[in-house]
Amino acid sequence: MQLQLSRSTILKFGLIPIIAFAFLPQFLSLYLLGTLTIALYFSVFAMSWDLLFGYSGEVNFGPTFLIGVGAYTAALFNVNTGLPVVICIILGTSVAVIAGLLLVAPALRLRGPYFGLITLVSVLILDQVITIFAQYTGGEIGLSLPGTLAASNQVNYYLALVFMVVSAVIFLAIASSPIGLILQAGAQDPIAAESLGFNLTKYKVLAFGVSAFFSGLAGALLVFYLGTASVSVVVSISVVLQIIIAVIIGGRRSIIGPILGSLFIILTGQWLQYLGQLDYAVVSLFALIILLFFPDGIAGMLLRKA
Amino acid sequence: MQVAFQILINGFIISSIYALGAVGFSLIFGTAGILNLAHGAFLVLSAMVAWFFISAFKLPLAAGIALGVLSAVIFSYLLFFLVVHPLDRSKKIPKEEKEVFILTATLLCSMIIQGLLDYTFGSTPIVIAPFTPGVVRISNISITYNEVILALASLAIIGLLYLLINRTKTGKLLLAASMSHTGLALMGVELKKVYILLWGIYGLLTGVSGVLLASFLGASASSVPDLTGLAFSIVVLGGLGSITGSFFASYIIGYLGTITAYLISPSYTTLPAFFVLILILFIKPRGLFGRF
Repeated sequence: MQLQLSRSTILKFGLIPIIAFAFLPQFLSLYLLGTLTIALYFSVFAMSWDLLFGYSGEVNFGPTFLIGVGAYTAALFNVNTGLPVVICIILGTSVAVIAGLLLVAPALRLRGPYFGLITLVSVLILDQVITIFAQYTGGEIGLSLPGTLAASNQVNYYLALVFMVVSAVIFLAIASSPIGLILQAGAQDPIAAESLGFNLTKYKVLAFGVSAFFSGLAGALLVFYLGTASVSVVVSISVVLQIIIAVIIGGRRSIIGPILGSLFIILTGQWLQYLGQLDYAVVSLFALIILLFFPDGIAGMLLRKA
Repeated sequence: MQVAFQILINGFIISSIYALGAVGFSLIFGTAGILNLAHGAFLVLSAMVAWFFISAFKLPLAAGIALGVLSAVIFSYLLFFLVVHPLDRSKKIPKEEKEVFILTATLLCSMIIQGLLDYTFGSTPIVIAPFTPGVVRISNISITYNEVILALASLAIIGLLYLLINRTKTGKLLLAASMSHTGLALMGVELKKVYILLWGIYGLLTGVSGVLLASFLGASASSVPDLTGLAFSIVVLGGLGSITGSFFASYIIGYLGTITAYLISPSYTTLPAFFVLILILFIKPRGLFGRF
């Protein structure tokens, strides 16, 4: 699916929802507002993943490696030093970018499943390292942070909203620029793209850098919003699966899709909680049906009609 | 000295069981080109179904195992007919994205099966009762008969698979499928029949290895991702599409884990294997014996 970014599309899928979201805190309970704040950060995770999966065709099973590195670096600085929260977030993001550049090294050498495994292993190693160094990282219980982003729920919500919108604009700009096209060309036929004279390595490194930057930043912001850094929220494999499902349900290679998918998965997750252990199975089943019958996801259905 | 001997024997047992667990994953990738990320779910499914019928209905061990294996075969066909085949045929998905779509779909199936298992049988880990009681002693080291049986049965089944692939007409079909699907179709073989055969063998193999694994390690719904990860690591390390490679890789991963457990700490068992995996993929990007 190729996005047609006409003015009316931008209006319909950009401005109107943003205005609607800006007024939401007036109507929602504090609990729902909190859930929505998490969903907004989650959208950034999903968009970062979509840039690698949808555009450069890399099946990255390790988005939480970048998210987790960003989140835990920021958290550890906050706990162990007297640095202000903003500096901790900047440090977390920088370390996540470095981690992303480390991850790109195998990506340039390995194809498909081999790369997928390396990224999966990176998450498993991070998970184990956090558990092993439990006296510093809080292990499975998590690390509570002295610093916070903002005390008020409304302020937190608006921070997340602004962050999400700014990220989405940057991702859309990258995706619809020549860089996005070259990444897609490289995913479809690397040899043909390189023989046209494009240095794919450069663009892949760029895509990984951008993805790592936003993953790390969103991870760091999320733990400061929640007040704790824990494996089950920013590292574990089930978070990876949720990100993948969000992108598939929403519609890959569309940037807007992952946002819709994230909102969908986090909000339905809340509604489906009464199903107990079955909630995951139901969401997965739903994602599977979308994958089978509407491979372009929710965004694909909406934009086709538009 | 005694520790070395213990590592040698225990490593051999666990590696042999790993090998059986990974061989099915390797087979289905090598011949159908499908990376089945629901592999771990199939292993746990057959183990839990077998355990359920043995403990709840007091069925004899063999009958329970047969039902467990049957459930794996049924789910294997469900996966093929409802998910893999339709995606493969779908015109809405561009050809170069099919692989990624099938991969993601199997991952989703894995989560569905895991959720269903958790819901139906609960989250407590189960253990399949030992096949025979008793302990054999070799100079101060005691091994249960069950472990010996598990290791030998695993090797025997892998041996049978080897004979099936290399010595029978059916095996020739599978070998041909692993080389070229188009070529096979041009020789007048209906590809769908080969797939049906393949997914049947896959279900059988995975069902049996699930039961054997659970008899040694136990099984629970939450061990699904770990088992898939283990099979994935072994098969990639050995090289995708090479069953021989997977066989040797099982021993590397199995022994590394055992050595770490004995010499360092049981809680670090998986870590060295991961580092070795990354290292080997850096040196040989297609695994030890890879074709793809």
